[in-house]
Amino acid sequence: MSIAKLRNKQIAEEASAWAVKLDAGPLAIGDKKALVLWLSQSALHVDELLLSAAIMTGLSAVDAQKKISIDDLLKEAAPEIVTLFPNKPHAPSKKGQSYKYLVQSRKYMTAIAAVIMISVLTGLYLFLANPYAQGQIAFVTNTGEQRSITLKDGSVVHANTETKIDIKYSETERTVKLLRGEAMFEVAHDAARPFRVYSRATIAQAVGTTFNVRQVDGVIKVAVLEGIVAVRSGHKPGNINTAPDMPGYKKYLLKAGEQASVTENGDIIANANPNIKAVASWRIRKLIFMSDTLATIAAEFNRYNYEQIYVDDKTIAALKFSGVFNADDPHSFIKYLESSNKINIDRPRPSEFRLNAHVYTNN
Amino acid sequence: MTLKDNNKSEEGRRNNAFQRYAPKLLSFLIFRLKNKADAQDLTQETYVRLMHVKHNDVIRQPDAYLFKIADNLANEFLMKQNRNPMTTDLETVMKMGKDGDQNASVRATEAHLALQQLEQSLDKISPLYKSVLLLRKRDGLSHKEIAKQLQISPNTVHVYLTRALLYCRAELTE
Repeated sequence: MSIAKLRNKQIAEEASAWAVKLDAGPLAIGDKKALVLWLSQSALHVDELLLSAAIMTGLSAVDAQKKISIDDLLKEAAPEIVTLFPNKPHAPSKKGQSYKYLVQSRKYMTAIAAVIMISVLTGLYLFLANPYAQGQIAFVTNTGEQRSITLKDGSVVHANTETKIDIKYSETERTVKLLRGEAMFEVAHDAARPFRVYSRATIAQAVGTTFNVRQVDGVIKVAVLEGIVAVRSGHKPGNINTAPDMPGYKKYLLKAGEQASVTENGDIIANANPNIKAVASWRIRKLIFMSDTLATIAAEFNRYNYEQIYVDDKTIAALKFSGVFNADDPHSFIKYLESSNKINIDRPRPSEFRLNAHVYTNN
Repeated sequence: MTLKDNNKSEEGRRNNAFQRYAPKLLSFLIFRLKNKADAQDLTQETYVRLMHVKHNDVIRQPDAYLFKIADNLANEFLMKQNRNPMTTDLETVMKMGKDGDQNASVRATEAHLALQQLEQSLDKISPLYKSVLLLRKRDGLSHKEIAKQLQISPNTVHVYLTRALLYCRAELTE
């Protein structure tokens, strides 16, 4: 019987998730409370959990002689993903390449991502034809606010400060529109429905990975923390019928630890030495600077706080600083600047810091 | 019903009620596969009893309470039917050859059949889910270890395992 035919699909699914959690080790106190609440909903919940837990237990006796090879299984898994897009004319040659890579490295996830990357953007047209269909979630974060949302498939969207996101799941695609700001995506694997983040004319696509997308001054920055992400540019909002393979439509493959920027005219520029740790630091509300200019640092703090830092003097805007700061605490950075003796700080009103060159500094 | 409060030793233990009740859970599976209607009466009663346990006690070890109640009820049920309480442990099942042992008890045969059903259900799920499930259950790797081996996040491992288990569950039952 298929999952779709299960009468209590939702409950069975939740029971399955609980059984997996229980099997992994002792529950945290929050999980224990949630489990009790979940169980108390009905006898059906109890039945499903007992059944799932029993199956999970029984599975440890399966294939005791270890006759099944995990490597073989993983190799076998790849063709399923390839056949998902049988209509792509250029696919065969590239598919061959991906296979070679798979056999050599056995980095299974990498191979899936590579295969998916060369696939046609089938879902794109559906999405473009009807971007505001039903079932769409939209959310906005205010200055300093961060929010995480777990989606139906287990994917998690972490939205940073001043961000606007639209999410829509269809049969063929998991569509996320980053309308402004920054978000990190932990994508649950689903080869049949690629996870695509659209930001202006850029598309970042993954099947099961973690990556960060930021929109700043018209430039889209994509950084990959885990797995592989395909980045495409050239989808112009004004001309939504542009086919993905038309000239001017560029694509780029980003691996874990890599970062690329897509400029306003659609060029994709790989960042040579990205500091991925710094990219991900917002999740713990830290700002990490490595020889960044004062102008950049001020703009970073301003994203998170109502107290705004203005660099009034161009000569100091290019000064470079390094350090780790709490995003919510511009004061610590201001104090640090004061101690440098190069900057003069005024605070004409509580919400404003004005930075100027220190009068006693000789350059 | 009393449940020994071993909260402190619980913390030190890697695996919790799930492991302690493994033989009972296996018995429940055999029971459930053989006789769905009885099993559902049993879980209905388990639910009622679970709801009567003091909230704070349940919160401390919800899984242990759930498994314990279900096990007690299963034994009560079988005693009423004048049958021996079902206790089959995994070792008995695993020691059995594929062709079955002539001297094996009825219980062990039932367990063996259940195991066969499980293996068949596994054959129908996708190789990817199957491999993650085998790494966890057959090879005993932790979620983190699987994540490292397959270069995916522990969160993804959790999602794969959940789907794999759901497939098995759907395949196993009618």
